[in-house]
Amino acid sequence: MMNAKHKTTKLGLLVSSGLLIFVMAIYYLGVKQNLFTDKITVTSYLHDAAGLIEGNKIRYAGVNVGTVSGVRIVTDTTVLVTMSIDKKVREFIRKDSKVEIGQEGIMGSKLLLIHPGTPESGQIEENDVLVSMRALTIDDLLQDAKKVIENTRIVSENLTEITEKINTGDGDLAILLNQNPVTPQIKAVSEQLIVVAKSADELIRKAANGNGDLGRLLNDSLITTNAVELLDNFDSVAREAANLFLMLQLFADKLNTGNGIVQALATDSTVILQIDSTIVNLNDGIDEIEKAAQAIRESWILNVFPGRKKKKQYP
Amino acid sequence: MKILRTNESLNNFFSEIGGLVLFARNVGQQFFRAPFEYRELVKQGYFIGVKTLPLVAITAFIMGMVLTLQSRPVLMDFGAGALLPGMVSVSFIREIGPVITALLCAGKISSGIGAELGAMKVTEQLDAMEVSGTKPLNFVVATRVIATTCLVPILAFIADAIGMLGSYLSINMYEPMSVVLFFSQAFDSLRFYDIIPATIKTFFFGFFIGLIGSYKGYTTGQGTEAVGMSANAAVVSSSLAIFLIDLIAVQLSNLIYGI
Repeated sequence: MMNAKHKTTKLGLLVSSGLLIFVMAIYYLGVKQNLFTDKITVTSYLHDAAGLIEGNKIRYAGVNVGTVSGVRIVTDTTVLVTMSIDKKVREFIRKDSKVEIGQEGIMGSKLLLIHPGTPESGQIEENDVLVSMRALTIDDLLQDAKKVIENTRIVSENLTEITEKINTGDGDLAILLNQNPVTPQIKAVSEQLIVVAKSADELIRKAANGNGDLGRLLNDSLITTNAVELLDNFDSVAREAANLFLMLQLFADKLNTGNGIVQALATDSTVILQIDSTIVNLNDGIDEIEKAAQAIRESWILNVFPGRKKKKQYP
Repeated sequence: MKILRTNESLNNFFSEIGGLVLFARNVGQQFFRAPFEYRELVKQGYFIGVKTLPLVAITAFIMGMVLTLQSRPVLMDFGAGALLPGMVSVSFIREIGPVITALLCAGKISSGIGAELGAMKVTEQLDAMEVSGTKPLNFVVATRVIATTCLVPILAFIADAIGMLGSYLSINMYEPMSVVLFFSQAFDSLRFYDIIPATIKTFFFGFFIGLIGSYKGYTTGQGTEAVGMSANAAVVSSSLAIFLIDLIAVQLSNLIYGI
């Protein structure tokens, strides 16, 4: 009897252990898939589900916040993805958050990434629809790699062409590399450059020691003082010039606004015309007077007395 | 002559299948008929479950270690060492744990049942039971089939857990890893469609291990030689049945879960 009870206990222990393991596994798996937490359901329309299946994780800021609860084709270009998100993280996910399909490493399973939105848009609600982003896929990377390879091929071809030209002696670079006379020229130039550098060094040293005009300019403070004085003089001259201009302006204003003859000459064209006509009249008068004088000279009365005529000669 | 022999073999095969189906129907009827042999069930459960546990535990532990040690270099070559717990958990819980447990049970339990019932048949104990009013199908066969059906899944759960433990220890042979991280990564890769079909198929494994063992023992021929043949046939047929059920289970689960 005791033996049978012992056996029963052992069997019970075995069955309990097995069932406990099973229940724990189911519970832990349920926790991992957010089955025992309060959830909120949101959806997103994707152009390409990229192998996303029910049960894949949803990540926000690198934290698992839910699971994909459904993937359904809606139209020929649209897939509806339903997400179950833990209610506790709802406050961090905004209505304008964006959804993107990602992958756990290179060989890992697909997952859904939620990118943060703006606080102004408010937190997500039940049955909200999140905007989706197009993810960078392996195909995209391959396309980019293809372009890079094509560019590399072109560069390689160009380099081959350049090296061929260099080897055949075509161009300046080829001359530089292939022909010996160039090297002595470069050597001579470099020697000249050394001489120039030495001269420049000597010049700088002289200037630093205060020799010559440049040295004095650099080292003598008296020049600076004179220059400052000169600038002061320039300043006072400029100020006087400004006063002069001011006076000239005042004079010009008076000229424009005054009633004098100068103003009339400057501004009134009729005065000039009058003066002009006066001068013309004066000229006419002088001509008349000359004519009268001529007439008098030639008059017979004066010719009666020739002795006087000889004495007085008119031009 | 050759055609005749093939024809005879086919006839024998289908005859066995037909006999097994009829036997299963008769045993199935006994599940729901009184009297319910509780003590015999516990006794068989003890022998099937408790006595098989050490064998299953040691094998699962070694299999967990071996699977990890074999997979690790390949995954490390791909730079995917972090996927090792997930890979081991999926492999073990989906396939290795249930199948290894079932094969061990087929080797130990099914042959034992076949030999035991064969000996009872040869020594006419089964006939004596029937004469004394005890239904051998109810008392001998149904209890064993129920015990295997219920305990093979339990042994499979324990095998899964011990296998994962072996995997954890073998990973720690190379690099330290916490238990929490190991099981977190292991369960990250698991889905319900990994656990549920694997669990359901272990019930079928258990049922057929008990059924085939019992059938082979119950239909033993004359003489002690036939007992050995029955035990041998029970192991072979049970093992073959396990693989067939496994194949069907995989196809069905893939079909149902759309994997």
